[in-house]
Amino acid sequence: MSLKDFYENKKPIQARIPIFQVLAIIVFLFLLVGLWNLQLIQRNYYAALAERNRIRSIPWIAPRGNILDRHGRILVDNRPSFTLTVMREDLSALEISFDLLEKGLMLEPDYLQSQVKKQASRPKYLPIVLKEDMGIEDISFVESHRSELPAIEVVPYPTRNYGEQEVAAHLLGYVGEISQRQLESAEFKNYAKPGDIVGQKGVERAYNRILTGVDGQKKVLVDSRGREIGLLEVTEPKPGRALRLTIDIDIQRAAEKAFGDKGGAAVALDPRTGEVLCLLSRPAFNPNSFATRISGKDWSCLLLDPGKLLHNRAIQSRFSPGSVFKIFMAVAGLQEGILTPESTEVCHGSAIFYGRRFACWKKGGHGRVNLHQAIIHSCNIFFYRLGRSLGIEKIADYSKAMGLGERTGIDLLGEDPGLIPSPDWKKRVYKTHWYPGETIMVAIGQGSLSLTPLQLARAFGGLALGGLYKVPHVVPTSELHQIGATLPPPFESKLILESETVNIISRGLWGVVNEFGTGRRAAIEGFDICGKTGTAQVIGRLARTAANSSRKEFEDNAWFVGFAPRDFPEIAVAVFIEHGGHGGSSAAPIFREICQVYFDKYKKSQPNTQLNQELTSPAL
Amino acid sequence: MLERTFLFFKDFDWFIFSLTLILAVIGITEIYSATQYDKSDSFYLKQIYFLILGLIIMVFAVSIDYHVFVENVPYIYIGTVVSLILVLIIAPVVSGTRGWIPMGTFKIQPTEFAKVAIVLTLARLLSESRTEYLTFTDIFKACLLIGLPLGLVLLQPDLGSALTFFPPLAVGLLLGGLRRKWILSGIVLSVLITSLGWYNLKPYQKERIYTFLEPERDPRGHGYHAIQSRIAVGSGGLLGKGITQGSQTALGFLPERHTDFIFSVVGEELGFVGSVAILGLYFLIIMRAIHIAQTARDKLGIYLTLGSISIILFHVLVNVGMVVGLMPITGITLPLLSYGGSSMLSTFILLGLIINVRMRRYIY
Repeated sequence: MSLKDFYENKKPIQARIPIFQVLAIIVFLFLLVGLWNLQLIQRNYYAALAERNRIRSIPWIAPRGNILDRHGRILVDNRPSFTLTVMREDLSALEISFDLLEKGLMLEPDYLQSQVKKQASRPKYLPIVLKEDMGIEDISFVESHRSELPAIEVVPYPTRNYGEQEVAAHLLGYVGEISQRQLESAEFKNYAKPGDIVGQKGVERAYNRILTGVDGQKKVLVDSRGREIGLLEVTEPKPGRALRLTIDIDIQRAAEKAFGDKGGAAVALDPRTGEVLCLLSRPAFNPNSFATRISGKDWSCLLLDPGKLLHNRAIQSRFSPGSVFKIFMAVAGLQEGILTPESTEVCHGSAIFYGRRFACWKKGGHGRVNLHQAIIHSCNIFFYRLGRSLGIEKIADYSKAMGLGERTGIDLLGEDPGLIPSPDWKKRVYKTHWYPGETIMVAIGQGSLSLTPLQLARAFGGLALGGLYKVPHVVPTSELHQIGATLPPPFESKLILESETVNIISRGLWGVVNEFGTGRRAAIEGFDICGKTGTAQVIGRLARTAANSSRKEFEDNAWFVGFAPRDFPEIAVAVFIEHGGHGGSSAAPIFREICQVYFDKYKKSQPNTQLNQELTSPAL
Repeated sequence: MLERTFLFFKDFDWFIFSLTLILAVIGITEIYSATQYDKSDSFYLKQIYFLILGLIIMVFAVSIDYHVFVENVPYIYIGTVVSLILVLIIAPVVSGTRGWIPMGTFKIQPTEFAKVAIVLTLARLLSESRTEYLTFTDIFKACLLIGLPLGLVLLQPDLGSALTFFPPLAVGLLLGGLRRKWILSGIVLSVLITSLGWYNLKPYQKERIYTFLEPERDPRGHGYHAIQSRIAVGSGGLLGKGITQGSQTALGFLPERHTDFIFSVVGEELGFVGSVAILGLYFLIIMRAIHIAQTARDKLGIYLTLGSISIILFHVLVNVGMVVGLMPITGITLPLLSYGGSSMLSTFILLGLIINVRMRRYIY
């Protein structure tokens, strides 16, 4: 082959060259259209994506407001804690490192995957929580393996800290992540967002809006591996407002301690203002165990608990008041005029009403007793007869006029109204008529009659003050005023108590404690304690004997409700002990303990101080 | 001697040369920008060395009459095949493929140089044909000669580079003249090969094609490159974010940003105006090369010029098409802009051959 061969015959080939000019133009037009579309038409879309690519917003959770007692002592605050999170869109980048992470954080294998699955239904923009409440070893592990754990965030997460542990657990409540149902409810609408930790019970729930702060956020610049490489913008969280309660933690602690392992409830309030000094329900739980997303096992333990641990027995449960109710009977009798201090009845230990025998608690009987003695010794026969004279309609009317069988309006959620039975009620609910024998049972606080401890404390205080029924509340009015909240209007009693009635009743209640009555164990020297014991049957005596059982759940409920001091009442207390036996022996000592702390603190050393000056509105 | 030097300067295609130089300098700038936070290596500095080396090799490719290269095609072809076999034997496997022979601190990619050999081989084979249309023997020989190195490259496996062997073949056959029946049977054959090939594609290759069609199906995996690249280019807008200002680039969202995806950096930082200007430079080079082919002295010159430029055009089409989301992702570089010595050198050789043809258009 010579070079010459290459030169020949180039004409037909040359003629085909223009094809390539056309081809080249087509190629470049094609690319131009691509660029045009991307950079001019879709520019904003991609610019937004680029922006989102490099900026990550990390929520900065605002701590909830502290909860303080009436003297400003911290009951609930927050402790610093750290949560390990990852944004959902960065998840796939991290998933390959799950094994490493599980080993480093000493978690069970596949724990992280299960966490991710659990949170699959949560909104996309919420970070996935991998581990809460990280220890210092966890944090240092993550920090030292940053390069292998892209996109992971250690977020400071203030965690609720209940320093008093189980004390006042029901009152303070607990927090938890908002549920889907709550999100849609009017209560949380407009201010809570998915993933928020909100109050679930007690004060935490009732005052959630006040205690909740405004979350801040940190905007950081991240690289493609999710590593933070710069801080762009910080919006500091606004902590929630601190909330002062009317509770005196000293009284609360003493009451809880006095209960020991007994179940029940106690409420102490200042009848002049309605301020609640202590409010407890036993057995209690530890709200700290809810502060982090509680694990499935702990939850079911609490929910399956037969003792209904989460139930606030002071306001959410109703119980037969037993002999405590006799006081309201006496009031009704005196006001109706069918009873005078001089009226007497003879007690032989039992009596027959409507063909049925009703017993007094004292087998041998009390003999002839007047009203004062009947109260002191809690004679059943006296009040059976009074009940028969009054009739159920009158009993119901008077009870309601003293604020019983109705919600007190306390600033906590889920209050039970209790129940004052009446023929109307029975017809409505059971579709049967009222048996006269039921009236006899109601007269001594048994039967269908059931009330909450809070109602009884309020009614006794109100009675002592001559018919002034304040709305019980756990947040002082000055504080309520500042946060723009109001209490419901106070209960307006239609019953105008005559001062003579109040005197007779007060004297009777004083006698219960101070004249060797049933409540003598509640006495404190120098503090004129008035009160009434109550022992309410859980199950009929005959049935109980038939069951031949001394089982705890058949044991009587014990009550002691009262106030002090007699002439200028400052504190009204209701103590309820579930299956506690006799009110005089089991409830009265706890009542005494509560009053003792109050007396020591506010009366003994400084006789002129009445609670906290600022908190106390001029009484009467 | 003096006269020859004068002629060299007079007939040297300063137009293509200066466009090439401008593109190479833009490439170095963007490589600098793309790797400004990568402290592990100074890529832009290396690219400057490659450019100097490329210029030297270009002078070599221009100085020797192209007929001399063509005369030595058998040696060049055999050398290429041997080097491609060598790659399969000694090159280490990097992310599932072997294509680089380590040479001290640098690595050589023989596939890049195989492209030059293909152009030369085809030019020689086809220009020997005397008929107005190519005969079956011509076509068969051409396919066979391409087939061997192509098969070797596919064994690496490097589908993208293997594809770059087709443009010179297609250009050569079109120029040489194809009868209608050959065009038709070619279409039938390619459909057959495509459908057969589909079943022989590795799953990751199939996945790449799927994700090309719909990148969002795997935004973190195979679709990641495509999506991030489109975000980079799209967010550049009309005027771009400015050199070294591209967030996609600087923050490392763009993978392969100094090599295969350098045009994403261009798009993000220089915007529509800059991208179109750079495409314009390529366009001018290509139109100029076609013009050189028209004025070439002989068939060999035409085949050489158009074969060479077809490779460059194909690279630009596939690479920029991939960056703007019009083409699937293949590991194909953007000539002159992408970082890489082998790509730079082979491009300079191809452009050198084109200038070579132009310089010798009158000389007998």
